[in-house]
Amino acid sequence: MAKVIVVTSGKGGVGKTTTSANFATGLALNGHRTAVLDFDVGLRNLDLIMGCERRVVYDFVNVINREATLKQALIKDKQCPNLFVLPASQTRDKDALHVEGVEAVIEELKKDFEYIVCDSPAGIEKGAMMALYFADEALIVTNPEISSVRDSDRILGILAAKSRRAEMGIEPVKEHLLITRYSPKRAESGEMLTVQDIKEILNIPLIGVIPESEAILQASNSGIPAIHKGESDVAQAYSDIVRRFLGEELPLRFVHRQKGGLFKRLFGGA
Amino acid sequence: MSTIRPSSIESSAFDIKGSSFTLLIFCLRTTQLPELEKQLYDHLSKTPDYFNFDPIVIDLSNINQTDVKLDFKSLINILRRHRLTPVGICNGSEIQAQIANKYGLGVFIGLSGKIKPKDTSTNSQPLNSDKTIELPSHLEKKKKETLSQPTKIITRPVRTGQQIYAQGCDLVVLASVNAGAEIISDGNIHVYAPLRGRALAGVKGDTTARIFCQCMEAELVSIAGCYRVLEENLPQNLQGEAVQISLNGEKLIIEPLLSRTTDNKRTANWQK
Repeated sequence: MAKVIVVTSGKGGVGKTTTSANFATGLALNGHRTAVLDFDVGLRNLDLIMGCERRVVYDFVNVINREATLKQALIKDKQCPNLFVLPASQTRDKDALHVEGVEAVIEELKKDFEYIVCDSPAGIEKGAMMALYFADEALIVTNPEISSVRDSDRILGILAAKSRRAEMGIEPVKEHLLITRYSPKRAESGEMLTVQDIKEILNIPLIGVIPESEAILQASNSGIPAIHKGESDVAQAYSDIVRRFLGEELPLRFVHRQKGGLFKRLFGGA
Repeated sequence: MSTIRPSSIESSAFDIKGSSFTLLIFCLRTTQLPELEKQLYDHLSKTPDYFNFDPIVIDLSNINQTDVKLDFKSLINILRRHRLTPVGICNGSEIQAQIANKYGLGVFIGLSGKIKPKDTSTNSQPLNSDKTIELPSHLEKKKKETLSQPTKIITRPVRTGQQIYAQGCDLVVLASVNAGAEIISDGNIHVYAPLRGRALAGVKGDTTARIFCQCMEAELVSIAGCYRVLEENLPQNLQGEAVQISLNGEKLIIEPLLSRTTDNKRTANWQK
């Protein structure tokens, strides 16, 4: 049975789209047929980060309005044959999304894909509601700062009350906490919230921590998700998250400051 | 007044849910309504506000023989005049059920056990029984107002923007109440996890209500409308500790839950 995963946060600029791109790529690299959908209608970004913006002909809204078929709108990723992108429309706004239309698209995707990753826009308005409504699982992207944590808390409340699973009274959406832009050094010195602080407030299982890194910006600008650069800490952190999502148990990395000598740096401090 | 429309996600305009309520039963022992009205008047004229249009179910087990005729319309009017709201009947005959339906009364089925009179003498002389309704004393009246619903228990975290109201009962929360969340109760509030949001107990004016929590980090606490914004941290012995909050006159008392008798100095008092 296909799974729908929403990547959401409430707050903007915390790394939802980056996470969607890397997570979907990671699933595809692990051999799973994956589609990633951009719900940020009017401010589309996912296609840029995935490096397919020049191949966009039809978009999500065209499919909803039956101006194009899903097959025409889905863009096959250059690197992974298992990965497809459904871009958002740049010229429309969020009102173009509606429950029946989104449901039809997701139901059709479910026939052909194992995982459907929904990249949510910021906020708690229509676009975000549509992105989370059909979710089976949710990645809650949170930065180690208080306003981001507060917004994530709000989104968790909405997931528990307004998702389809909540409305139908079936098993609730499975929540995963994903902390991005984490700097162990700054957390230790009290400039940032620590992983422990965030876990205590949000009270949901942690799926992984992405360290703050310049590699992310480079990857975004070049249109190749960072997970392809296997040697970087970001790539490793995202691969860990995907493997944990698929059921592996891995020790948490990149949450402590790298100290000590060459030996430790070489073998990575857990 | 504006109208409320279902949002696009909740396309259905209503939900039907199962629920259960405690209802008063009005055990009717006569079909002679003038006599009923007289007795009702005698009993209720001293405490005219005893009933506040409380919903009641009319038990017809004493008068469900087929040859007995009952004027439903007048009965309903009499009950309404005495601030009772008949919502249904039980233990009536089939014909009585049909007539009751016609007058907008529901038929409660599956109510086992007839409401039997307390002794046989009243049973044999229904008209002379001196009480149609058991009139409670003042003590019982108070009990009726404060004890109503079972305690509301919340097991999942209460998150920013969420509001939980325990109407007519106590509220117990077993998971954290996060900053920006609001928990409200007509009675007491217990939180067996960090309380970081707002907690308002006794909101209908119960000054004896209390708030108990295992880890006190609240933004605001209130009892019976007397509130305190906790802008800054509490003293060390209270912040993040197990505390209880009660109302003493106009003062909100926040004190450690366990060491109340051993160290009174540590108790912090606040005036509204």
